[in-house]
Amino acid sequence: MGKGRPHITNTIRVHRFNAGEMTQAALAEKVGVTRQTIVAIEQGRYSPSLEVAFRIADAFGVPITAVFGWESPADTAEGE
Amino acid sequence: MSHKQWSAVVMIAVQLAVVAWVVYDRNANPEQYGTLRDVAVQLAWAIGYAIVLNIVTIIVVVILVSIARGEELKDERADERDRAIAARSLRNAYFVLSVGGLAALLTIAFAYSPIAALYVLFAAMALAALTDSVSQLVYYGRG
Repeated sequence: MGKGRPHITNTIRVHRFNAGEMTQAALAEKVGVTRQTIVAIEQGRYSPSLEVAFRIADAFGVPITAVFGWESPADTAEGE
Repeated sequence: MSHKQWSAVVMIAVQLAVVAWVVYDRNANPEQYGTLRDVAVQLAWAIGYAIVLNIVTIIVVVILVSIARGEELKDERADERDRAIAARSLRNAYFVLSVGGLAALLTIAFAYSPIAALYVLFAAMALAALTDSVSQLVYYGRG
């Protein structure tokens, strides 16, 4: 939903794998959002609210920084 | 596609069908729509048809998609992303409706027939509904 390229990165796919290949539907159920929203977050197409981000981290039992990261626009520009 | 995306697709199809019916009916029976009241009744019926057709079509589509997928197409409770998409789509639709409302006023202001103004208003409502549905599809596609 944000304009331009999103700069919030995530490792949801890795954490789902580590959680016994938890399905997107199961994670969505735990977090209280739709499966489509989990898909959009995982693919980096949607940046969740802080509350949903905390809920996702809580579902994996890890701190929020272990799941979400911030890629500064300056770093992105240098890499391109 | 989710239930909400299918609903948007159905809304687009229904809007186009109803607008096509209004245009066809107007051209096929021009003598029936000579007065402002006649046109108002036709357009009110068109809105009624759109509501009923939308309900019936979404039920049929949900059944057909559920059969094709082998699992029920459920309308999940809206989450923050759904609400954000609905809000942005509604904002776009509101803009279109506002411009259409202004166009309807200007139609009368420039001494065109009030019947023409009524059609402009109806077109604005149909365009606003289309804008809402198309916006939803675009935003769901983007994320």
